[in-house]
Amino acid sequence: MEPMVEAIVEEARIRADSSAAWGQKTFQTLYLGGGTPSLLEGRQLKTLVDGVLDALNVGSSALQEVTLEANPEDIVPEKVGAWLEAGITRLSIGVQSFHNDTLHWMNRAHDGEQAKNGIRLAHEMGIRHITMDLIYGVPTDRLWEEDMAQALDLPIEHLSAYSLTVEPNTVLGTRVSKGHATKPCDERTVLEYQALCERMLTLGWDHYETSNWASPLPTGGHHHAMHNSAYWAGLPYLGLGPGAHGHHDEIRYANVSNNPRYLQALGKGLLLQEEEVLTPRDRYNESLMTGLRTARGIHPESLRTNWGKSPAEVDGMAWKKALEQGALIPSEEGRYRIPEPLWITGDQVSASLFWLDENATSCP
Amino acid sequence: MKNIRNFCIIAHIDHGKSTLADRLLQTTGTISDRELQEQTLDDMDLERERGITIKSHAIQMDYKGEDGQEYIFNLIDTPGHVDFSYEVSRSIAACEGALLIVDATQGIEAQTISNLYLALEHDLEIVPVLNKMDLDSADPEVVGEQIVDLIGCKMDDILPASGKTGMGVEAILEAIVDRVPAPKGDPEAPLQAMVFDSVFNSFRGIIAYYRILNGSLQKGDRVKFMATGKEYGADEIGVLGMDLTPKTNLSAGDVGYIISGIKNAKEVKVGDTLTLQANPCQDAVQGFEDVKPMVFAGIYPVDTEDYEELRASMEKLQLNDASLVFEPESSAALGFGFRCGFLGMLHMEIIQERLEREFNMTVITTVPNVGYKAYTKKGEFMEIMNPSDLPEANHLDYVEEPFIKAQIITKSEYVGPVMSLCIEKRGNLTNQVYLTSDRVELTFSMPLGEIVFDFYDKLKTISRGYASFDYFPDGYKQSHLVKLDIMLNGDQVDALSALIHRDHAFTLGKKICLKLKQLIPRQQFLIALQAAIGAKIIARETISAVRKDVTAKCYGGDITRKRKLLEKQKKGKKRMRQIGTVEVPQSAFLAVLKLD
Ligand SMILES: Nc1nc2c(ncn2[C@@H]2O[C@H](COP(=O)(O)OP(=O)(O)OP(=O)(O)O)[C@@H](O)[C@H]2O)c(=O)[nH]1
Ligand SMILES: [Mg+2]
Repeated sequence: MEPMVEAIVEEARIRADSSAAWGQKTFQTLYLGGGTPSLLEGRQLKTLVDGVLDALNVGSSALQEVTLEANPEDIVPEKVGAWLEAGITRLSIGVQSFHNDTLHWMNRAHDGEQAKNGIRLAHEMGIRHITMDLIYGVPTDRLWEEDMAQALDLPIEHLSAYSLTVEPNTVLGTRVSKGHATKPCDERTVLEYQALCERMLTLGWDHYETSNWASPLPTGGHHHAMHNSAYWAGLPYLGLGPGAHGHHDEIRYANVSNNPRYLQALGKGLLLQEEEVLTPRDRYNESLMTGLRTARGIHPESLRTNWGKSPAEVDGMAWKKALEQGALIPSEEGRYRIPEPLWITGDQVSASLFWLDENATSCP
Repeated sequence: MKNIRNFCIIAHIDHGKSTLADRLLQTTGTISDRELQEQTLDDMDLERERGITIKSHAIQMDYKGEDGQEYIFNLIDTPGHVDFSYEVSRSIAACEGALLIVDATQGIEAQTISNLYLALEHDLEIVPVLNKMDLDSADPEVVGEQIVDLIGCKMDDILPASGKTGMGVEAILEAIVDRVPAPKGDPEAPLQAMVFDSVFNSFRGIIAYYRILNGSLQKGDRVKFMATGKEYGADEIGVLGMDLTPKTNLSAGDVGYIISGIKNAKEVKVGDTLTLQANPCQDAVQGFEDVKPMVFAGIYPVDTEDYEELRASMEKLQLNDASLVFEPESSAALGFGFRCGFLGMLHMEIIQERLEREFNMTVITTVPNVGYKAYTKKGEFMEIMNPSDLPEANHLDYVEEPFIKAQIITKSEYVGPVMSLCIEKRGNLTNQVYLTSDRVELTFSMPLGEIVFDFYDKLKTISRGYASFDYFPDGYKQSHLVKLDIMLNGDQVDALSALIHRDHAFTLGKKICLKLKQLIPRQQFLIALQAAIGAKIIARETISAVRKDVTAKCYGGDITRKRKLLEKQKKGKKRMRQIGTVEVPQSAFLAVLKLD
């Protein structure tokens, strides 16, 4: 792990030095995720956080949210202590379910009790901000009601729920394609999502993004995830480590995801990355796509000011149709959103409003 | 004139006409190595992409013969595909000789024979060429024998060649000098020229290509087209080099072009005779029969608002493809569009693609059909180009459908499968000839309508590519046809109706419903699919509603990938047409064509 920590710190240094883009920016949040940063030993984690912040010239007190993604089985007192010491303020825990057969079916290493104990422990030891993931639409005999109830019984202030997706070339994908596992069924997926939406609504949680809910703050407002909200708002982000993506201005880069190649390149002080130059059209589509996943929705006027066209100009027919069908409704300040019940088919709405390259010849 | 040679290159599809033309252009120095590409004459984007010739292409070359004399060669490269055989007929009419190319690895095929006969009808001198000799699988003895049998030449007359390596090209050039007769004609007689092609250029208007049979033409002459009676000034005349090459004077034997400010395609008729207003010739040359469309289909804009733009685009397209015919029609399902006639299925595909590329029109093509003749009980006769126009069953007496004479050449080992396919397609074997010990020519009488439905691909599959196919119209015959209707959520979709043989109706109805179920994407609501004959439902399927269409996660690393996915999703949608509340993709209209 040591070389990886060093390489990531080195990457932060190179990026900070070589690009004016990052020098000007004030960093507000830090997110350690993707893979299993909770595997790191406490000391290593601190080295990583301190090293990166130092390289970027950020004082740790300047950050408003420092999140660590953790596996339930890694939440033990020594580690939690070290996380606190490293400045972690928020945990995102990949629980998925409390039902052991379901966890087994999904190839997870933890069990339900471990997850509950872990969350309680972290909270007691002083990590106040905890979010967890649940997965719905799993074709096992678990009772979704029970999973939801157990999650909401825990000291969490935020919840992400994802539908089970079977991706090719994963363990699950292969098992499903070979017929060793049942395919998730849409009907069940939709029912479980709806049940969650309803339950969270009665509890006063804010369903502020397709897959995310935030609990109410005593002072009004809700515990939104700051870091992730930045992605949906199209703000710049600096990604570090193998496979990480970053975005500033019209550039998006993706680091090589192969660990040895990443290490090798950084050993020579090089960045191995793919860079994509986003056109105004790309950025329009991204704003639309991420915006429509949020309760705030999109702001046609700003799309126009920022990227040159409003949805009505991009595809008047599609815009009109979405409004007529109620797939889009007005929200505050001239904004439009997809109503919550239609989020489950939200990609259709977003895609229909996309701005396509008029000059490209359409494929037959 | 004695040093002019006018010839065309004819062959079965893909036997290497355009590639050999490259070598001729190269060897005669007509084109520099820098300008040369593969199949240079195939200059349309679609031709290059598909690797086939769609339009004939005339070009002039200078050649210094071994006898030390300078010759002018006018070459016309022709398409091999059966849909475009009218292009071959026109080209032949402008020539005295033809290079008959035969692929030495494939042997004689169906269009080798049909194009040869077209050339012989016009008394063209045939120069047989055995091409692709560079390939190991070339079999010059056997294929040579086939050629000798077919045209009655001597083995020595056949020129071995390769368009790839350039082998045999000099011998071909010399054979053109020696064997193709120089044009005959009287340069002093009144001008008599035959128009064999015309193209539209947006800056210069209509450019007509002609072959002068007698007389001569000067720049600035007043000319007259005999069939249309229209007169114009010859603003520019010239010959067809790699580019148009202006000249001041052309005379008997020459192949040239004329630009005279004509903007309307209808004013130039291919096959018309061009003469001088002041001193007209006595007789018009024999023109061409109008090309008759074989297949009909509706073309509709995806956005109903684009109807007028579609009309303008089709009119422009027609300027460059006179074989496209269309008239306005309306469909309950699709609104306003055009009923179009095509030379065949490939032609239909190409028209649709050209509309999209050259005019940026997204269109829907309905289920294609052939033209029928309907007779009512009152003794009325109607030509039916759209199944929806078929009279109600209680008024209808009987229907006739077009038949063809289908000629299939295949290896003897595939005779069995080919026969079963043709019989399944309601064909009757009328003749069977062994061309050689293992090459058979089968002739069937078959309904043209069956060719439209997935015949060609099946033929290729069952014969592993060793069957070639050609056909000729062969009159109309009475048939037991019924109209198969498709309903989406209970509403009949006229654009999906087809006339099919009564005996096939049930199986086809079932298959079409199944196929549509695969092709129509799930939507927000359930879709009931039904196939019906009259009031009787013969098949049904259901497409369940979309319940879920959303990506679970969307964070920093997912954004590019997800954006691309949604872009693709919308691109797919662009080709869909809303019928009632259901969005139907183009592929659904062609579903009936490919049923397994
Ligand atoms: N090996 C070899 N391949 C050849 C030769 N001549 C043509 N080909 C190949 O055969 C294919 C068809 O060649 P074309 O010249 O396009 O054939 P064509 O007769 O003009 O075809 P259509 O115009 O569509 O009827 C191409 O892939 C050529 O590269 C040859 O002499 N030797
Ligand atoms: Mg060709």
